[in-house]
Amino acid sequence: MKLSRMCGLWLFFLLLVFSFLLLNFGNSILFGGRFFDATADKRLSLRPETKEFLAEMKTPVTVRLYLSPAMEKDYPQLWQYSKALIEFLKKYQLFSDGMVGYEVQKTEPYSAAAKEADRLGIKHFYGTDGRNMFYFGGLVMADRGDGYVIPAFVPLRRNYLESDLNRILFNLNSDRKPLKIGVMLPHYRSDVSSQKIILPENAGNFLRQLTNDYVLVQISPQAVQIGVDIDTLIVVLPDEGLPPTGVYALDQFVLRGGNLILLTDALNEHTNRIPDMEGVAQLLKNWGIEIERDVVAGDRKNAEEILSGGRVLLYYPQINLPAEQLNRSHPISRSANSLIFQSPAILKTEPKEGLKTTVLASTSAEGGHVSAGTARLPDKFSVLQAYEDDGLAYNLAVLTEGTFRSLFKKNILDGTKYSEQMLTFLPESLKPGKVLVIGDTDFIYDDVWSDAEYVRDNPVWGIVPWADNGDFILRAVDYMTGGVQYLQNSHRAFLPEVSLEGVFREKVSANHREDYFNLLQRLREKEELLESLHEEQDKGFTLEKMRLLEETGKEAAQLEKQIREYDYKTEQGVWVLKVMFAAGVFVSSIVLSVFLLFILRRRRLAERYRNPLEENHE
Amino acid sequence: MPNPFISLFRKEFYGWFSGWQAFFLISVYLILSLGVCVYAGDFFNVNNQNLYSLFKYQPQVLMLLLPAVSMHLWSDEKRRGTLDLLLTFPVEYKTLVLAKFFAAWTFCLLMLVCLLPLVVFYTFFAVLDISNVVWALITVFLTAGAFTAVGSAVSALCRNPVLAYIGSFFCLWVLTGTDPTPLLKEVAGLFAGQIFLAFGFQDMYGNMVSGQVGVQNVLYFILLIFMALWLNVVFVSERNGQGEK
Repeated sequence: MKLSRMCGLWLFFLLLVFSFLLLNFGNSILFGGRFFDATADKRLSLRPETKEFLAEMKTPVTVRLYLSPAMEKDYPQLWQYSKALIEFLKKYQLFSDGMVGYEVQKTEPYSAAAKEADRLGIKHFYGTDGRNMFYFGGLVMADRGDGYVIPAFVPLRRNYLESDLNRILFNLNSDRKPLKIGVMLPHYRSDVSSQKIILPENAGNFLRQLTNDYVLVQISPQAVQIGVDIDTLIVVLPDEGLPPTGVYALDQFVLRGGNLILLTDALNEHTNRIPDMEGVAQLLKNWGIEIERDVVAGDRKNAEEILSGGRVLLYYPQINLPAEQLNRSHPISRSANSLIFQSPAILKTEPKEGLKTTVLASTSAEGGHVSAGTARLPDKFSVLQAYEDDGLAYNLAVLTEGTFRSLFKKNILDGTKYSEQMLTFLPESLKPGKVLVIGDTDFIYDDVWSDAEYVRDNPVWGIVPWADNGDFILRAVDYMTGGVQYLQNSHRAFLPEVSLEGVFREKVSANHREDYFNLLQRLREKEELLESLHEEQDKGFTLEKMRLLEETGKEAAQLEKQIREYDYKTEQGVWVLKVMFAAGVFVSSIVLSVFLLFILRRRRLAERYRNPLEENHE
Repeated sequence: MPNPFISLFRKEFYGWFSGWQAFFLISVYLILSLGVCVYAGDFFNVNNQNLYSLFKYQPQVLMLLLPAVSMHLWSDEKRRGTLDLLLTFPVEYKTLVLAKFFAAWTFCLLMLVCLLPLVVFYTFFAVLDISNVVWALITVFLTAGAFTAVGSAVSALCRNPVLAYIGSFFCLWVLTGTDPTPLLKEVAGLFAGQIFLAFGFQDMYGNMVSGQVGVQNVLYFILLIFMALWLNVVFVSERNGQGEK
């Protein structure tokens, strides 16, 4: 009897487990994969445009992740990102109805998967013990065989994850031949023997991000004619300006229906030179855009802090334009949230027949100016003293579209033997073109808008932008080339990803930031002096030089000691804040629990007189 | 005539506050949660806008602690000899089981409420994704409910509270630690693997805590609680040598 009851119980238990599994099975069939995104910034959801595209995908694509699970311990943040990435890929799979598949290759060091990852060019990195080798990259491959290798996923580029993946999927699903983009850069060179493009050292990121979707072609600033196969031309004005033949080349290129992105400037902060705008200014004036010569724009409201002469200054000519200063209705500037300009030129517009002009970025109504000559001064405090508030909004990026008229009456080389080899002179546009003028050449320099730390061996997906300058150029190229799909695909804005340690460090160092920067600058000066003294001493030894060298060395060592002291104090301060935070949380939690228990205990005493069950039980 | 469920619930719930056990349990829970959050969860170094470090290890913390809560529900009554008296009350078994379960679950809520200072302190220093954190707290609450229900069922089987603790811990370990996906993927292919992925506790919990709330996830926890409570009713009635009351 007892045995049969036990059997009955076991049977019931097994049936219950089975029905639990069955119900869950039905549950997953009915509701599986359908989630409500509970995050404030909807970071787990795909944008509607992405879902639309995924639903229409024709070519199956597989994303293979090379992921080392052992990195969880050493790199928790990276591991956290890998989990988010996998969740994201699940959504791609779901909304593409299986057209986008994904697989995770657990990549142990020296395994077959690791060898495959190495062969593909996926980056490896070492664990904190220096022995373990980790991978976190991917291969996105279409079934027909072509694909893209992502050497490493960078968590700091999370805002761009969806747009990066979409761009790859667009390209793998498109039969369109990549368009040619001409690039005219002052420092742009190509290796003639191998036809390999050499990216400029400090301004390569904005070109790197174009290389996945377009074919880049180098154009010399000396060119007299731009090839008709070039769809869009990006010109960064050299400090020495363009020769008249170069201006003629741009003029005729636009009149042939070409699209031009021109970055001009009032003061090149990177070379500290005032560019010669003569030819270009005339050309643009002919098309309804006037550049104010030798004047640098500023914006009191959107100015950034800089360090000058050991002081932190709010420097008005260094502008960080927020979203409200950008044209939100235009596809180029719609998704940008911040654009950084350094001593930009002021662009004025005047209506021209057949041309439509759109302002994409302008300063706030608290705009002002300073002469370019003054802005060159190394002491930025003096620049601010000369700065004049105009209370006006100045245009910094302007787009003109339509049919253009030529600045020239005839071919500039008419009458020479070269004119016969050139394309016919056009007095007005053959077909509509587009011209985008940005009043700042510094706009494209890496250090202005992005972190280049991660781009080594990971050119496109290693760019970590902190401003949207690069994205602005990329979207401008997309707009010029008619890449509608690309334009619908923009990066996201998520809540800032910060660690408490970072926040604490910021707070602690804020108290002595100015002194710290001052010390760093003084140390740099001492080191430069030491270097020159060493050189001097190599030329000829004197006791005076020796004494000076010793004194400078001592001073540099003293400064280094002071810097180390600040570093130590910062670490100590961070540690104290951490302990205070933990103790504060713990003590408050205990106090809260004691308070709640006290209330409940009092209620219990009252309950004893009310609840007959409790009395009986007691 | 007072509602028997409410009377029983009050008796069970307020019973926690007769001595120091509630304070002891809550203190241990806080120490474990905050300690694991800071050390294992790397709280200060990772991005914690959804308090990932705190919620990541909550199943493990609750797995250790909740058997201590649930072991009191039945086996402690048996040990003290008060179960027979309780069963003589003119109350249905399911009412008894539900009252005890909800009392324990409410106690779990109290434990969770004591974590709120961490949420408040964090918002002083960095941006917190409040809606995600609220859903994560709801998930932990549901997890606590599921664990309490399983522990309660095991407790109904054992006379010795220590055995009840160990038994509950083992059952929860199996529940949270077993992921059939790799095996099923090999056996039944990718499709089946994806479906069976839904049975894994870790995935259900992980999805909800990270902000992906699905009907499937919520139903999973509710089903788990319901099944465990049903088993509990059967164990109690069998223990008393009767069928339905």
